[in-house]
Amino acid sequence: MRILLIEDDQKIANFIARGLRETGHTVDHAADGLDGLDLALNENYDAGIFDIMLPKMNGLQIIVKMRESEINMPIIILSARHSVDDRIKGLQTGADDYLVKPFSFSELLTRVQALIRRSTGAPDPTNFEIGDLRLDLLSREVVRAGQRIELQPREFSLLRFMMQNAGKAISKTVILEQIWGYHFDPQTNAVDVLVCRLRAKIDKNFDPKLLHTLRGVGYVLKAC
Amino acid sequence: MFLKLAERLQRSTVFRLTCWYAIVFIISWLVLFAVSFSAISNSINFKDQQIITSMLEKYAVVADNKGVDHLLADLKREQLAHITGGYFAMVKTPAQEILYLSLPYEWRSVELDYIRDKLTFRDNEWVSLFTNNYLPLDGDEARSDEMVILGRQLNDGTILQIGYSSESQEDFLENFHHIFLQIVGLTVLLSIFIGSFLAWRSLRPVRDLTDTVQRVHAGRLYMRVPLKDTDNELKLLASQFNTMLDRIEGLVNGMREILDNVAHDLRTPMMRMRAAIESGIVTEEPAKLREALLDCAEESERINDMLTTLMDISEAESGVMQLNYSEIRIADLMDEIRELYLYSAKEKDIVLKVQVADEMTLWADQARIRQVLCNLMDNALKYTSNKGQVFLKAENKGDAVNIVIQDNGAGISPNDIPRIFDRLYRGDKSRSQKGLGLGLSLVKAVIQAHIGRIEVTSTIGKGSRFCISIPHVKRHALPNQTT
Repeated sequence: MRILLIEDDQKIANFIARGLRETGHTVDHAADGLDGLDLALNENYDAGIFDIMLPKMNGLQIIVKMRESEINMPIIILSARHSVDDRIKGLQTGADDYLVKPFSFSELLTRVQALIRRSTGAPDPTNFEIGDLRLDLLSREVVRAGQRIELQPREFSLLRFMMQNAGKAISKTVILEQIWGYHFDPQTNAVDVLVCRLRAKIDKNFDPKLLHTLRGVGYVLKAC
Repeated sequence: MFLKLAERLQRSTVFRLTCWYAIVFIISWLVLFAVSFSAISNSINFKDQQIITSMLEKYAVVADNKGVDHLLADLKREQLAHITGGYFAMVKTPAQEILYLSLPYEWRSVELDYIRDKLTFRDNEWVSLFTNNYLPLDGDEARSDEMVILGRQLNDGTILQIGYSSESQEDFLENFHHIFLQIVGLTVLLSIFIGSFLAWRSLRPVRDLTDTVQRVHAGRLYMRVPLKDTDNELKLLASQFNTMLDRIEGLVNGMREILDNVAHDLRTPMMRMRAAIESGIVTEEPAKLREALLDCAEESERINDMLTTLMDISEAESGVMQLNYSEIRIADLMDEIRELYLYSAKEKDIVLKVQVADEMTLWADQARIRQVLCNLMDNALKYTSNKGQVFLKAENKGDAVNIVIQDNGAGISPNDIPRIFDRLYRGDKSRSQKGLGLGLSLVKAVIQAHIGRIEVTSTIGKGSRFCISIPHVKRHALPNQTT
């Protein structure tokens, strides 16, 4: 996949670009708004990652210009601002998602892939498998090592989301957003509790452990 | 140098006010002068004409009754007695032969032929006679003068004319003029002096204001405009200005305090992060290095959470928090909260009870109220031991909605209660728990931003009860709080 990154901070840009390249994407980077708009109008990309505060032209203006030229690739906005209004403004301008700095790379990757998946319209798989853990969306069945596991609805949603993003770190913020639809952190430990319960059901009596906690980052589901 | 001073003067309000005073003063004096001058000159004219008319009347009666000779004798006698000396009197026959002529002394050099030629006669009407040869008594140069003359034809055809020179009254008016001008000059000087003093004095509050503004500008935000005793518009301005300064000073100090607090509070996790980084740098073991990195990630997450919460608190406290008011069904909100904490409660075997009437609504920012309830629920569950009970209920109380979160957990010690809403204050029991020490500060700030109140009652060992109360008004009319 080809991704356009417009970010003026060299370190952040390198960090994102390296991460995306390591996961198999091609990245073009522009350090200011005008160069970025130029690339966006003349090249073909599958997705864009734009900072809002940019020299010469800000991220929202670039999106407006692109949408005027009917370029409809999905775009994620990066912002150092936190308020809900900024988020709404960004989404109204035509951005598809919004990420507040500081963010973890895995969160950005999750969002980029979700956007690309959505825009390319590839059918979502209905079966997921990690190690000996299987989840079937249609029958809503979860089986580990041949043993059926009963999950509450929220636990099921969380497991499904984690299996869709297996191997990637998932932050508390993303879980609140995906499972409860909260767009900002109400500062609660509800996520920890939900993850604990899920872990008790899918990991407690089995080996190897699949659900891992990454301190300071979030959680990851992986088979090793 | 002089030009500069003039320019500065021109811009000075005191100078301009003084000029206006003086101009208005001079104009009113001039109007007064014009009016009184014309009134006086009219009345003098009128009086003179009356005298002439009555003299003419008298002489005509004498002539008609006793004959022209008698009149001439009378006239001569009176001239000797200086009664008619200042007046013009002439008696002539119908054949234009002059029988008698007396002129004002100042007309002494006017020739008889000139008078004979120029003086017309109309019975019982006023005519005028003009000369350039008027010689004033003090012997100055000849001036021009005009006489006003009334004439009458007597029964025997003799013509009698009597008149007066207007110069005598002009002399009087000229004196009047001089005196008047002197007075005007004096009063204008006085008015400039008094005017500038008054302007200077009445603009003193404005100068005080300017002084204060300059000092505030120089960084002395505590300076205030001195208030005078007199109640006027300028005092109102000064007191309004002081009120504004109070508010600004409050906001600035509040922000300074927030900044100090944030800086202070962030130093601790940053110090921990630095320690982790340093231990990572010196270690040779990959496992310890990894541990250090994880510590860093954790601390940076903590810093981020703290910053977000501190910003929220300061926004709410300083009144710049944007609240997106909407009508919230409390039952929905409570269901949501219950659902969110169901698992946490089950984990500790805590019974979670919710009591709310179906139709109850609340006018507030939904996301913020949810944040408040989450914080309070988090606390309630954290400090309630296994098999305890947490009770969440909403009720209408007067014109407010009360939301109560009650637990039968550890309770808060009476010493801690006054301080639990302080930023970063953590009671003894709280220290062992995870958290930033900012939750309740945020709760209070958000509730106060909604013009609400929060109260807490607690007994050690019996549990705590938090009651938030939000006014039940639809604030459609009010815009979002952006001040």
